[in-house]
Amino acid sequence: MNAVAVIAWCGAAFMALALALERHHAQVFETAALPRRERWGWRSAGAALLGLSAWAAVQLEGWGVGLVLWCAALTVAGLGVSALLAWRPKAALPAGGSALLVALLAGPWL
Amino acid sequence: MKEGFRQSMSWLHTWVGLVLSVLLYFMFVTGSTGYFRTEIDRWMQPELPPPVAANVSQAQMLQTGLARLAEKAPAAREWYVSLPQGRLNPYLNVWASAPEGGMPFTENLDAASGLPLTARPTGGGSALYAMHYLLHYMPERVAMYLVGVAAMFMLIALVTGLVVHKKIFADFFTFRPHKGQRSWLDAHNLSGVMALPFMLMITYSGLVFYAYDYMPSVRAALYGTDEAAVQRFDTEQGYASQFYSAEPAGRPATLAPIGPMLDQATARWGPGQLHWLSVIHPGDANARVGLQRQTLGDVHPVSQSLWFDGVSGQLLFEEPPKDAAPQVFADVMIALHEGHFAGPVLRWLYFATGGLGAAMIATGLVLWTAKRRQRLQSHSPAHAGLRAIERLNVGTIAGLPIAIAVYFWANRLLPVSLPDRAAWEMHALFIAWAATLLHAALRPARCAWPEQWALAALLLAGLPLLNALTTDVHLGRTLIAGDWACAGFDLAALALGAAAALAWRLSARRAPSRDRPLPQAAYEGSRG
Repeated sequence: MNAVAVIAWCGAAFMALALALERHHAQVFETAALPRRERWGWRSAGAALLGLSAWAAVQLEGWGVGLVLWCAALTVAGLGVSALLAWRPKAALPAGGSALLVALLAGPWL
Repeated sequence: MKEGFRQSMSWLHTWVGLVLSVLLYFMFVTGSTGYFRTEIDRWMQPELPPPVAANVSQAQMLQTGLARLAEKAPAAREWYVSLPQGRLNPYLNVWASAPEGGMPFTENLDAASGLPLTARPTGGGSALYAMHYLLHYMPERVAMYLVGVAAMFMLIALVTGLVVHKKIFADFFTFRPHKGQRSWLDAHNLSGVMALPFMLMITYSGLVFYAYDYMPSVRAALYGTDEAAVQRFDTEQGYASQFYSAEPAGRPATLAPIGPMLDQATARWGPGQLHWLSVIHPGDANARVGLQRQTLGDVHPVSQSLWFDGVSGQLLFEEPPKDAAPQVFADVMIALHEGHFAGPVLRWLYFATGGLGAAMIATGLVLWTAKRRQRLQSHSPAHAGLRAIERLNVGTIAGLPIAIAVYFWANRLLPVSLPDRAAWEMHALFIAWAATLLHAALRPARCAWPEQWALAALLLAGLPLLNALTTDVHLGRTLIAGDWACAGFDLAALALGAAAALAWRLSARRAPSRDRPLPQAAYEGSRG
């Protein structure tokens, strides 16, 4: 469990949140439609992962430094997700899945 | 009403952002280097050995330091001995205040042998980073106010930027490459939004550093203005000003042994917790000795000090804990700004996010010109103001990295015996910066961009090579020895050189016609 895992949690969270947005959902799934229920599905998943990422950071470094690390990890992960969606939208879903896998494997329970 | 508000905020964002943008870019770039200040210090003094934890007690190191100061600067008003403590202060360091009209004396010592560690004179990373609040070629107070105004403008630009950003959630992750002005706006928004926690923190906490100087009436109202009030305020701040400003007795006296004082500190703080020792009026009957500690491992650092009579060795003052809520708040803000608590990963993230701040300012500047140029393309040629900002942008955004690279080149190329060598390294930086601004003023912007980025790429990526040619702390050795301070500098220079090369490629390819197809006549007229 280290800082990379925190970034992975944030990356998975942001990818889910991006898929709740019409533009990125269309880029990734190549369908214009984003049904209400699916939107809320991605949104809740993203919010839950975001909460987990904060928890992981606090587990790792404590409240003070942990929250600083969390903010920094959010910045890096957010830029990563944006870059993927801008240049490699096809790779976005596998990358998000891999981030989640890394996060789970490195998880704070280990 | 709503639109009116947004429009006025947009106006404010545009102009508050523009007016001091060059200064803010300078502050973000040089300030970001501060997160690796001591590593840069070490790279710039390649003669120094890698710091090693010597198996020497704190009492012994204090003796070593005091003996050296007594030998080299017996008449100084103040002495400091800083004990080695991790990356922030890698060596046993002694410092003595300057005699009348002279320079302060400072030296790193080998903790085990007590011998001085000699190295080329340089301002190092410390001088580079200190410019982000002291600036250069001007009195400290002038710089303090300039920097304060810039930080306030930055804070206004950040908040108005949020108001103006209409689709902050829908566009949260959006970057649309190859779309001209649209791409610049996306990049500006993205760097600002993603790094927003950092931007707000760094700007606000920057103001906290000098809050009492910017708003002296607050202190005057709460504490009063007489000497006793100032002293009470300073003491609450952890600054025992009555000892620093004490007058000498004018009679010589022997300094009391440090051992018993250290024992008292150890009894309170635990062993090995002392960070530095100060002696005011050494050798005088009115000498004072301060022992200080600072824990930097957390976002709320703890600093404490004990003050002794330097002749009788009697404890005079124990700094009270600073646990008043406003003090804790200010201490946390300053700690967040300085990031001393950050480990290697978080430190790199701090550095990168600082760079993102610089990128946000840079993209904002480019956007300002791109917008005006597009508006104007259909008729008259660019007016003088637009052309001036365009050129200033090149000489600032690409010119400053060139200037900083030149600072490092000067460190390796200036003769070691050059008088005022450290000052000349800094002059080299500003001469180079002036040259890039001049170059940008003389060349059309579309040529100046790629030319300056190419130069920045060469100078930055060339640093490891120059280092290998002029010293023996090059990558071939430092990587193998695991000397990460020096190796990290060279690798970062390569990476930043690559980034500059990318900027060169992009700016060379970015023909104006790509932004928007236009009739040839209009296009000709708009070239500046």
